[in-house]
Amino acid sequence: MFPNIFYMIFMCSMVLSSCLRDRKVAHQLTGEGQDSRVEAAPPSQGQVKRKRSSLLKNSLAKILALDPKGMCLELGRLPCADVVHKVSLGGMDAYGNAQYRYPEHAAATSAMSLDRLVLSACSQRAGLDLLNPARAVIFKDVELSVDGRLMKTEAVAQAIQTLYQRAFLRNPTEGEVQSLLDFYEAVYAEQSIGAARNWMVLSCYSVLTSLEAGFY
Amino acid sequence: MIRRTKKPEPFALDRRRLLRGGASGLSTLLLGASGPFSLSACLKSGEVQKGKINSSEAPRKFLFVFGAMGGASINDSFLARRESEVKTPSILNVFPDQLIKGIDGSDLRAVDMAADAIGALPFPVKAVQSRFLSKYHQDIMVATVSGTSVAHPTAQFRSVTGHDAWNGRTLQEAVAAHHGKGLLLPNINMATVGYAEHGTDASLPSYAIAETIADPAFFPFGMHGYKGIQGAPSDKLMNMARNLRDQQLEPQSPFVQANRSNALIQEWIAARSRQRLFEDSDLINRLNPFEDSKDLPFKDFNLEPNKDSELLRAAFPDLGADPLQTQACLAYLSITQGLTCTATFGLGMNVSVDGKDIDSPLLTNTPTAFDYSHNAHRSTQALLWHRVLDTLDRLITLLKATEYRDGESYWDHSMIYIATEFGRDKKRLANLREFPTGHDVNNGVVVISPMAQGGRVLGGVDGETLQTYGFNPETGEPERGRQMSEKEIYAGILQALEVDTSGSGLPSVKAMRRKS
Repeated sequence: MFPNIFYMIFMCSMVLSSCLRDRKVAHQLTGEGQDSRVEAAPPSQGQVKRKRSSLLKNSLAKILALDPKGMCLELGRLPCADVVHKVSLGGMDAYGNAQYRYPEHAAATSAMSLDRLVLSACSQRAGLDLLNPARAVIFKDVELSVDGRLMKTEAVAQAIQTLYQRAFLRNPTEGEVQSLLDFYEAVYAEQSIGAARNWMVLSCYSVLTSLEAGFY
Repeated sequence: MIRRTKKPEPFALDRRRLLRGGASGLSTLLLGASGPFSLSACLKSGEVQKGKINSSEAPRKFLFVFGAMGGASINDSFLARRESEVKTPSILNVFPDQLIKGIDGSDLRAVDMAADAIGALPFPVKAVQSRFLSKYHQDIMVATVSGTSVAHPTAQFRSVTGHDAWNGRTLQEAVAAHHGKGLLLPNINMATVGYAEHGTDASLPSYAIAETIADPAFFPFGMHGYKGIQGAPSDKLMNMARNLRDQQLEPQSPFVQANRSNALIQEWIAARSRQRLFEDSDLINRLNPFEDSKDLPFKDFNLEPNKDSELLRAAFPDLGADPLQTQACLAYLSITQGLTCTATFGLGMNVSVDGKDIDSPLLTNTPTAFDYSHNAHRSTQALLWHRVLDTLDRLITLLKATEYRDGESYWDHSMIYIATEFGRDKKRLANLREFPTGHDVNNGVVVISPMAQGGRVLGGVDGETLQTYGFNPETGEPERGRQMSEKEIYAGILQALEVDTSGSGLPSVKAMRRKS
């Protein structure tokens, strides 16, 4: 019984293709055969998803070590992520509103709803950390002068480090750290009273409303 | 429970004076002319709200789409028939003669009836349609139609797209594309299921896509990123933080570097870039329908209760508690505050109960709305038609009392389209007063507007079958043997609203336009 000729051609082509692919991968790993002037390819683009209301709430509560139920309440009583901004934040309301699918698109209110959720949470965290710096979660051991200014100690950069680690499981780049340190100077120049607290709240806000925090 | 103490009358003669008369004009309108509300509180109210309208611009037209979820039968409202008018009354869905009210010079009808229960649901029904008819008959137009689907979501969607009449564009999208340029949110949608679907026309301008609103009571909170949050930094500092995020932190983020071109990310960046427009418009306060109270302490959070909250509460006494009244109120506010040109709302699928009288609560929405006709047709239709018309009465009253421009009210430029997916069976088991019905594509739609051919029934009802028949699209003359398509109704509505439909291939339906 003779082997099928088409089958043999197919098998040969598969082997050849595999060899060529392996060689290409090897060249990519070693840089062999590549023009040294060509920059490394950017990180590959995977599937990007929006963090929806419950995921946002839970991750924010974890990052900032806050009670998710009390983290953001409109008028001091209406839960933000579970009720008021649930759909705006990408959630679904099947029982309450016969809405059986997640919204496909961001609503006009989505970014503002995220702002409210995060700002409320960050205000709480900053307040708690200021109240008890030794047991602080983000702004640990950050010191304030008697007139409310931020004392430039190592703890400030460490707070930024902690914020990034808790939020993104990575260290901030030097540039990110410097941007946030410079931001304090800008905040102080704009409004010296309460500058330290405002810086804490707004640093937290600017990181946790960023694209890296809102998507995964 | 609705309290109506005054005899209804048509809209007042000297409308311009009323519109400009602030509180006194309004109270005359509400107490004397309209009479649905006990409005002593309104006498103390401030001025009627006025939108910020530039009179040099061409006037916009406003479309309200009311989704009558579940199948609102035209044979149980404006095209109802008396037992004496048909040959076989015992097996058709017709009413004892005394329950049907007519009005001189019009074929429009109304059903006033009461029932002890809604099938197995032990709630009384008292339904009065005649008040609405006598008050608005000059603006009510009924056009017969035969749909193409008896599946709820599909039929709902087709009721607003005319069954793909214009490249899948919904009525609301077409109106928003034409009349909504320059508005922040031209098209808002508070409805559900098929009435909440986006159209499928890829060529639609992005500003005309509907903004979905899950809960109208909470919607205004999402109109600002930080106002009303205790301890929020100043505007200037918030701007600085946003700039820090957008211009310094995000460009350094490896995640953003890798994914900036992603469509979701781009969409988010675009939406974020517009948020200042909403915030600067102070819509968080201007769209807030509520007064300050212990439960809603706006002032404690540096937010403002509605300036006309007494007026709104008088018009919508169950604002907040009643989802339909709350939707109608947001529809009113979003249009008169210059945010929107088309608002969609309507009955939901969920049961709602008016429990103000704890000893005798009233059902305000049946499970699955009009579709509860499968269990108890007559009482379901009666209850819900009453509820629909009562809510629209309140909305129209406010629109009439609010000046749009040059002495004309918002109502002068508005249209309400009661969309429904289909009608119901025309027959019943012999002599049953309460009976179940299935779906029937044959039905009619209700359009209420000063721009529509008001006071008219376009088409008619066959006396032997109760099936509706169509009309000549140019003249409006009834044509037995003709059925009007969803596409024709779609075209007629848009043409009455002066939407430019050139190139759409839509038929001309002049009969639905009011003759000037």
